[in-house]
Amino acid sequence: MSLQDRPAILNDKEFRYDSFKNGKVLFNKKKNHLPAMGWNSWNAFGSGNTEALTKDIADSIVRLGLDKLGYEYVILDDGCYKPERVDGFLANEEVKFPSGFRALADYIHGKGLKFGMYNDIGTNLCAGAAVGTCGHELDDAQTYINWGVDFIKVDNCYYLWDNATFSDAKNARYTYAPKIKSINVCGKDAGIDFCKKYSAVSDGEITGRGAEKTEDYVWNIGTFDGTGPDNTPYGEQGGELRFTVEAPSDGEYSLTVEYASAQEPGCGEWLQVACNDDVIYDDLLEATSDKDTFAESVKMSLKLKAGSNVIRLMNHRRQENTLSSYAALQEGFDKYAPDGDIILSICEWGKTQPQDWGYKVGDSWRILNDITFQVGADGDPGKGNWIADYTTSVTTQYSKAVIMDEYAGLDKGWNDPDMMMIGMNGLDETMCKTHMTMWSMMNSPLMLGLDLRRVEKGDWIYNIIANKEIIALNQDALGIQAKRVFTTVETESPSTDYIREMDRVDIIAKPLSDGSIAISFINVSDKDKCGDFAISAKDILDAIGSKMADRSVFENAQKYELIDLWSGEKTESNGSFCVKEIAACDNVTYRVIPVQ
Amino acid sequence: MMNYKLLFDKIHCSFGISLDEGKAMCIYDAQDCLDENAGIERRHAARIFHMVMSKACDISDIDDISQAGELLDLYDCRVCVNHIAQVYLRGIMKARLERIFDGRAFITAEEVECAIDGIVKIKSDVLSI
Repeated sequence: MSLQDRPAILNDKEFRYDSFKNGKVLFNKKKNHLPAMGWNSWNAFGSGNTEALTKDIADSIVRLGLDKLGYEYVILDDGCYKPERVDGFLANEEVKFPSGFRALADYIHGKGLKFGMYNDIGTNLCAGAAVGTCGHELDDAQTYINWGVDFIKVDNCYYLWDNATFSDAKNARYTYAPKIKSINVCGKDAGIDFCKKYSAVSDGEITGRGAEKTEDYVWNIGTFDGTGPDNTPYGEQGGELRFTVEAPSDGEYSLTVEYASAQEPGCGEWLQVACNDDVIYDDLLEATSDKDTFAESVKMSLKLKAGSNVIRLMNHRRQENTLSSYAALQEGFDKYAPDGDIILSICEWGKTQPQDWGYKVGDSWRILNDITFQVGADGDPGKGNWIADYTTSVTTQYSKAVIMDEYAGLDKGWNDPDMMMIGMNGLDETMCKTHMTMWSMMNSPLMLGLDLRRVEKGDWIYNIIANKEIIALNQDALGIQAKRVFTTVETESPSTDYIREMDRVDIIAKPLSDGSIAISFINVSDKDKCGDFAISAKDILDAIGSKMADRSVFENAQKYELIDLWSGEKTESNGSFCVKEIAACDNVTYRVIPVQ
Repeated sequence: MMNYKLLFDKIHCSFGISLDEGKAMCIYDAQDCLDENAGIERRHAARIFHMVMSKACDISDIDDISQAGELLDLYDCRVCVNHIAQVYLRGIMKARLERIFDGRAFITAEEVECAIDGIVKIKSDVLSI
């Protein structure tokens, strides 16, 4: 079968789930990038971005001096390509981008800035153009190199191997295992044939997330879809059904599986079987007549050792397929520009739990669906929310990203809670200030999403996006995402528990390369808060001491100098850091410098 | 079947916007002009009608689209959520089934007539204020 007929065959175990934690990158992906900073066209102009607008934005970045503050990428999002390929290659939409992308890249590079573009791992872009990278990854990588692209954001619409946005819903066949009723293991003992049947319900053990036992079978074996809010990213996000099989002696055995399949979330057709960590089957099973009629699978051969063996029935293809597709593009970048260093922004909306694998090929990974669906247009700033349903608010994105610090780092990449909404309707100055603080403390990419032509030096939007002290937190060379060390909501583990309640104050802390730390007191709520919001130097040491540039300096300080990074006010502390009042949606952020 | 050519004609007839003007105003995307005889998915129709409202009729967006969240499939189309929400909340396009917008189904001639009538009415209400 060709690439277009089915997901990639995974001959290299580096693409497999079991290799996600080994720390190895693929195709020479370069690391040690700080979070990317720049401007992306989507929140500002949606599909209505044009060459003229993009040039105006590049001019504005320079006019405002934002380039000197680190904002370097100018990124064209969806809506810029010709709707179909030309002789198999990507091309510019001629009305909106008449000069072509190479000319636009040259213009942007001429300003001392860097040029970014957008595509999808599916067949089409989210806005519809049939120019997705699927099946064209190497050619497209070369095209982007030829165009002078420095950054590429890659979305997940129309993906062939998962039930992603605009994909065929039946693609769930690839990403969920069938319902499993039993397995049958056969072999020889002292020359005599034997078979033993193991019930999925009574003999099988479920691990990870999602898989469920019913009275007769186990189902929902796959990877939990992380696109929506209110779910923790921690723990094994893929469920497995495991059997402990006793073998009388070392040797060749056979395995069959009693299953029923469908093409829907929870019950698919693709099964992976591993025996003592060797994958022995990774393919579609023949479809059963319906999802309630069980059949026996093909016979699989496996080697067992005398004594206990673990047989795993699973389907990690949601993650493995998506990784393979992003990797194909990185393979192209490595092939055609091995010394190049194109930043790859993974945008599969957290669907496949990219915090597990994104570091292998990418520099950042979106953690949820979009932060706003009310994007702007020329003359319309669009709208963002502080608190709202689904993923569409500052606080929803923050609430997931803030517990994901352990997945981020210079040797990995960055959690991406989406482009910023500063300057959009619906968010006032206080909200935007805190939005900027949150994204900076969390080492999120700082992608502006507003029409910069309406910003002037010294106005409130400028003062937020150009706050050097706050930007310095994001771009600090130590590259450590802030950790939540306290929250007013009762919880067992503030640093890892997903908290749905927005009526709260969080305290997050971040070690910095000069031995100081940053602390933010964040009022997530839209109500003013009074109280003793306090944390001690010991609390901070317990939480982030191991990541500090010099723990002993902080630990042995006689006092601490505090600089409020929004007001500039300086105070001192003997080791207790406290805020008593925080206005609705506001934050107080200090750089805390240990003094000997 | 309602196709793009018929829709372009109807919009030209009702709002005086030619195809070229529509492209220049970003009412139409390049992909809308690939095959004039193709059917139009409802999500694309929602985009076009929303753009007609905002670019040609000065009908401003409804600020709070949260009520459109009653559509169970609203977020299936990330890039058209706002388009669908705006036409749905203004009554320009209705759900096909209970709480299902059905954005990938083709729009019918009746639905197009209804949508255009709706926009014309809102536009006249706006002008009369």
